[in-house]
Order: sequence, then structure tokens, then C-alpha cells
Amino acid sequence: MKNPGFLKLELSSKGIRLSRELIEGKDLRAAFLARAGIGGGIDIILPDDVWVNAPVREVFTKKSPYLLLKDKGVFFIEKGGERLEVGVIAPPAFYEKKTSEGTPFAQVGTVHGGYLTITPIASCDFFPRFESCKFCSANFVMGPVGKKAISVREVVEVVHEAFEEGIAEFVQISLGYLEGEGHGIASLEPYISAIKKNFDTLLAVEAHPPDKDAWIDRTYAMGVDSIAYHLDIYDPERFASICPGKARHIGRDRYLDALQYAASIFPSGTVTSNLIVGLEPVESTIQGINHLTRMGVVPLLPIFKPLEGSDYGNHKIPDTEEIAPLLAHLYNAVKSNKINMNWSKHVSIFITPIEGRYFTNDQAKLEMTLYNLYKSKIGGMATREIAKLRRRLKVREVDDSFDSSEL
Amino acid sequence: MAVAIDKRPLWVILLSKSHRPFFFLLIVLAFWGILSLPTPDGLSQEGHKAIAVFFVCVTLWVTSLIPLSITSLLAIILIPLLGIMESKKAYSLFGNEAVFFILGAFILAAALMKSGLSTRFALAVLSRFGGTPKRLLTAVYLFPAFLSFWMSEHAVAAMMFPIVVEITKVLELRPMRSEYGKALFVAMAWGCIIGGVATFLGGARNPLAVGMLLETTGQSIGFFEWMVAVVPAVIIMLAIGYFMLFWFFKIDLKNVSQVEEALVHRKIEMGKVTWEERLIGLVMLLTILTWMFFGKRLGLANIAIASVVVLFVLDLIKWKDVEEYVNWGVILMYGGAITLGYALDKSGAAAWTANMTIVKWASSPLVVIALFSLLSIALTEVMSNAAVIAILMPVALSIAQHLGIDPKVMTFAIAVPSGLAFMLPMGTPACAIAYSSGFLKIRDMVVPGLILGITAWLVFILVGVFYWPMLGLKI
Repeated sequence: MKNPGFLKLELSSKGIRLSRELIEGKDLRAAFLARAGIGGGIDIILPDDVWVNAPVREVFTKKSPYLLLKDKGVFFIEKGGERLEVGVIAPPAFYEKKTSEGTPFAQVGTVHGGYLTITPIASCDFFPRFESCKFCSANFVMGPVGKKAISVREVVEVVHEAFEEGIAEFVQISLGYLEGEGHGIASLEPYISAIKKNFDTLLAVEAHPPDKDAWIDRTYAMGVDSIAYHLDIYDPERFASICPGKARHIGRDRYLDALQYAASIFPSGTVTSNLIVGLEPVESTIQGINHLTRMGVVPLLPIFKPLEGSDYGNHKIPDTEEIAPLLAHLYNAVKSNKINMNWSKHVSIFITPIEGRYFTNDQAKLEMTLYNLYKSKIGGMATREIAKLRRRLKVREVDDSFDSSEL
Repeated sequence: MAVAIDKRPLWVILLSKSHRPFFFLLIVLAFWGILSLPTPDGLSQEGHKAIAVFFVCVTLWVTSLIPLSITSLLAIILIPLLGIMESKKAYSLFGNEAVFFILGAFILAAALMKSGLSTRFALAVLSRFGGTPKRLLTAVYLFPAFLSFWMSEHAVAAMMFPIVVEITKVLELRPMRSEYGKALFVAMAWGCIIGGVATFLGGARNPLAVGMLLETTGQSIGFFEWMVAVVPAVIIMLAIGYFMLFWFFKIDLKNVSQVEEALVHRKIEMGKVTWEERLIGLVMLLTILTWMFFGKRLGLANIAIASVVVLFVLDLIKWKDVEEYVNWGVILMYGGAITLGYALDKSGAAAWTANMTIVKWASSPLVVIALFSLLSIALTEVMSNAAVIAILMPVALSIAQHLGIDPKVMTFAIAVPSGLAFMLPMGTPACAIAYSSGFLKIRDMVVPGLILGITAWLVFILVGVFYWPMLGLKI
């Protein structure tokens, strides 16, 4: 309980039980309006401002040794008679509202930590072919003809509400696998453009690698500040068996090539890739961490959760004692490859590289000073302005090159 | 819109982007420094200031820190602001006949391009004469040359490029590897460049030079007169270029029969000749004949603008086509260059500069002509050919007057070589377009281009020495 990093790891993988008072009370009711699955739990603030999204609804959480309770207006986590005071992020009030087109806001965007996550095109072409990743729950509507895409106007309304409420600072857009050369990235352009025009925020996108690198250029140019192409599984054979759609239609090599190219385009520390802990041997994940960090990519290590509705709904939860050294290795690998660790802020759904320091003996004084600077209001403002300046300097419209031959 | 991401380190990009205001500040300081110097003996106050403005414009034209057209506009405002000339006069020079001739020529070329008539001509010629690799290469070389007599060489290169690309695809030529592929693109570029100096229509720099001649000396060169003086040199250059083409690039394929089929396919796609094309062709033909035989009496600009009016009356072109095809930057650039040239001449700055430099050690008019033409051909490789004219013409005309050289000869000596940039992609859009094919390495252009450039300069001098005196043009 004393090590916030280890506690985050425990809560992420085992979840937390809620006291009767909390289940029956109004405090966390709105949390259940949000979608289930990854990030569908409750955001808790641990000591050292460490944020964690603790699952509460999944079956495995019933066996969790941790209990969340409220005593005299203060939230505590209790384990074996020991109590730790924590903060709980009240679910956003906007979850209960509807957009001007009548869609519940909670169906358009959900808040995880400091991020507002939006899935404007709720479709993944792996589902209708039965080629979806086996750990994936039905976050997406089945098939390419699923419900129609959320309008740009609705997305802007949700971002506006979330920012007005002060509950989110960044926007993340998720995109399932879509057929076509860019794998749907072009269809995100109107959303990204509208968000960037209307809000001063950093924007992350998680998508599948496009067939051509030119789409990665375009992704950066359209205003994306951070890109994630989730490899999820590093071991080639397990990758092919657990993620058949990814293996067949994109290929592991393309993931790695695209990540390497993206790392040469985006700022240091903003290209990320998930390596799910618990679905392959630890040695394989370590190899993945080494490979990705050498390319300048930040590996993110979500802890496997058996999600209802996924093929792996009954899969064993990984042992946190086994995972701890992995997180220490993550911190050391990112640090030794001089990758910026400061972009992630108030991330609750996975353990960030900087939080990996809790599993080492490194005090990380310099890193923490920088991290706190980034987290400050001035630091945040500076980060956004530098990101804008960088894009302005780096992006050239191809027609510009012909200007010099004018006259 | 396609995008590219600059992968250089951020500090390098920042430095390269910030050089513009930094250098601009340096130029302003130098400008102020020149103005602060005591006015030399023999130079008027206005001349002193005109030299300072000239320095700023030359620096900006050479470095391209800001677009050439904006530098010209800067010249137009600095001249009255510094009291070199009244505003009314400075702006009135913008309405020079040459500027309107260029505008008319651009609109006529726009009509040709938009109607597809130029492409149809190209397909017909290549189809008719391109039966063997050698004949096809010859056609790709000579047809753009001929077409550049009558429309901007840049437009000809842009029109020919997709056709030549298609030929390379049909023949399955490999970029960088195929000698024949290289030869095709070099032939297209050389043809456009050499043909572009033959008349006023090949490049707007030619009428600009004549416009500056007119404002400075009151003399002019007619459309036909220009052709008579320059076309023989063009023919010799084309012949030399032809042999060099086959010397440098070996024909590494045996037949081009597949090309015929592709050209026929393109012709079918274009359909039969439309009335619009016939009428545009007729207007163009009549305009050229009128330029040639009545140009002096009616005025070149008047004929050009009258033809434009006819095109609109017959509804053969729309204003949006004009906006699409006309390079308005060139119009602005030329107006400003003429104004600056006039200011340098009338303030005595050009004469003073000439007296202080070349006149002091020039041994003969021939040496001066040779020097200026060499300077022109060298500068045009690294900067805009119009900027070369704007920089060299004012001083050269003053020197011509001082040494008794016919100003028309001096005009030819600068204007013709300024169009002959064979070596580098940035020298002229024709080379840039050829290079963009991906078939050529820089070396493929530099070595043959250097030799052709030197040869062209020698040809030009020989024509000047032996042929021009027969036309009454004396060096």
C-alpha cells in the first residue's frame, strides 16, 4: 500500500470492490453510464498524484483484496485492516447529458484520467470476419455497416463539455481497423481539424498502421500530437494467433516499420505501442520493450484484464509479482534510450514509463523535476505551444517546393 | 494537398527559417549604410539613393529571400519614398507596353493550353515522326523547340512532360538506369530552352529586356527583327544540341512500336478537333503574323491585347482560365524591374556605375559584349532569368552608350544568354520539370549542360561578330 506504483499495478490487474454504501449511493453512479471494457472502471488518485483506473464491474474484481469505501466524506482503500486515503475522480456530470443530435454524451466520449477518449467511427473490420484480437471486448459495433459515425458537431460538443467541466485536459481518438490504404486515418481528419481549431489541446490518436508512410506524415500534419500503433503482442507466433486480423491484413513487420518511421516524424516520447502484459512470456515482453525503445518508441504496458465479451474472458490474470521487474525494465529502457517520458500526464489505464521508477531504486530526481514541470499549468501551456511551433516548422505542403521555381 | 515532413533537427529548421528576417535586417543595415556614405563626385543625390535601392533589389533577387515580384514592388515604393522620382512617374512606368505584351502573351498561351490544342499538336507530331527510337527522340527534342517559339517554354515543358512520362512507361524504361529515358527528358528540356530564346513569346524575359531598352534609350526591337537576329543562332544551337544528345546518351533500345499505340489511345481520348481549338489556332496564327509584319506599326502589346479581346468575344476562354494559367507574379516583377531600370538611368546612377567599373578597363566593345553575355549565362544557372535581366540591363545599357555599342546588341547580349540555363534544375522550370521525372541524376544534367552552355555562348559570340553586322547591328 505504501508504494503507489505497486498499488497501481495491483489495482489495475485485480480491480477493487466497492463498499455497499458506494454501490447504493449516488457518488459513482454515473461511472456505470460509460462503456464497459478497458478504462471502464473508476479513476482513483493514489499518493504522489498517481492515477489508476481500477476495474469494478468485471467478475474477477469480486476476489480483489482491495475495498473502496467512504468514511466521513473521505475515500479510503482498505486491505487487511490497513487504510490508505485516496482521491476518487467523480464521473463527469456530462455523461448524463445528450448532444444536440440526441446522442448521450457518454456514448461519444469517455474520460480516463486526464484524457477524453472518443471513438467517432465505432467500427472495426476485423469483427465481421471473426479476426478481432482475442483480448478485445466488443468496444466496437460489429461490422463496417455498424451504427453511423458520430458527427463532427457532436464530437466538438462533447470536448467542449469535458473541458468546461475541467475533467479532461487532452483528447484521444481511437480508430478500429478499417479497409483502405490509410486504414481510416483520412476519415478522422475532419474531427481532428475541428478539435484543433476549437480547442487548445494536445491530441493523441490510436489507430492501425497505414500501408504507406506518407499517411503517417499526413497524420502528423493534420494536428495529431501523439500516435499509437498497438502491436499488443511482441512474440511473432502469439501475435499471429492472438491477433489474426492484424497479422493477416497488416503484418507484424509493418507495425514495427510504421512505428520506426513515426518515431522519426513525431516528437520524442509521443509514439507509443501497447505490449499487453500477461498474454506472452515476460522474456518476450522484455524483448519487445528493448526493440521498441531502440527505435525511439515508448512501450506502454497495460495489464491484461479478462474482459467480458472477449475470447479471453476467462483467461488467467497475470501475477503482479512477476510483472514488477518488467516495469522496472521499462523505466530503465526508456531512460537509457533518452526518450522523453514527460508527455503522459494523469494516465490511469496503464503504468507509464515514469511510474516504472517505483519498481527501481532510482530516485529519478531530474526526471521527476522535468515531469512536474511538464505537469504544471505553465509547462502544459509551453508544451502545447512548442508542439504547434514544431508542426509549423516541420510540415511542408509539397506545392511549397514549387514556389521557389516560380518566375 | 500532399505533405512532407522536414526531418532535419528542429534547430536546423529553425535556423534556416529564421535566416529570412535576419538577412533582411542585414540588408536594411547595409542599405542605411550606403545612404549614409558621402555622395561620390560625379554622382547625383538621386543617383546615390538609386544605387542603394539597386543594391537592396539585387541582393533580394539573387538570394530570393522574398518573392521576386515583391522585391519589384519594394523598388517601386522605395523610389518615390527616397525622392528619386515622383510617385506618379514611378507607378506610370508599371504600365509599360512590355508588361501588357507579356500579359497578352500569357493569356494567349492559356487559351492554347486550356483548349488542348498544344497537346494535340504534340501527339500528332510524335505519332507522325516517332517511328524509330532515333526519330522519336528527335521529335521530342525539336517539337518543343518549335513550340517554344510561339508560347512560353515553361508552358511547353509542362505540357510535354506527361506525354514523355507516358512514353517512358509504355517503353518500360527504368528511372536512373535507362539511357534512352534520360535522353528523352533532357531532349525535352533542351528543346524548350533553346527554342525559348527565338522570339518574344518563348520567355517573358525577352520583352522585358526590350521594354527596358525602350524606357532607357527610346529604341525598340520588333518581333520580326528579334527573330531574324536570333533564329540563326537558335538553329545552330539546336544542331549542336542534337549531336550532343546522341553523344552523351546512347540509345539502348531497338524499337518504340508500343509508343504509337499509346499515342493513338491518347488521341482517341482527346476526340476530334473541336471548333474551339480551330478558332483558337486561327487567332493565334493571325496574332503571330500580325506581330511579325505589323508589329512596329500597330504595337506588340496592342496586338496581343486585341487578340485577347477576340478570344473573349468569341467565348473561347473564361476569366477563371486566365486566373489559373497567368503568372501574375511575373507581371508585377517586370513592372518593378522596368521602373528601377528607368530610375537608375535617369538619376545617372547607371552611367556612374558603368564609368567606375567596366568602362575603366574594357579594351574593346567585343570584350564587353562577351563579358556581359558570359555573366548572363552564368548567373541564369543559379537565379531567375528575369532577375538577371533586371540586374544587368541598366548598367549594360549605360556602358553601351558610353562605348558606342548599339544598345540593341547589348540587349541581345543579355536577354538571349539569360534564357540558356541547361545545367541545374533550379536554372529554369524546363530543367526542373525534366529533373522531377526521377530519370536524371544531377550529373546527367550538369556535364552535358555545361558543355552545351559554353558552346551556346561561343555560338552567340560568333553570330554576333559575323552575322549581326549584315543586319546593321554593330558591336
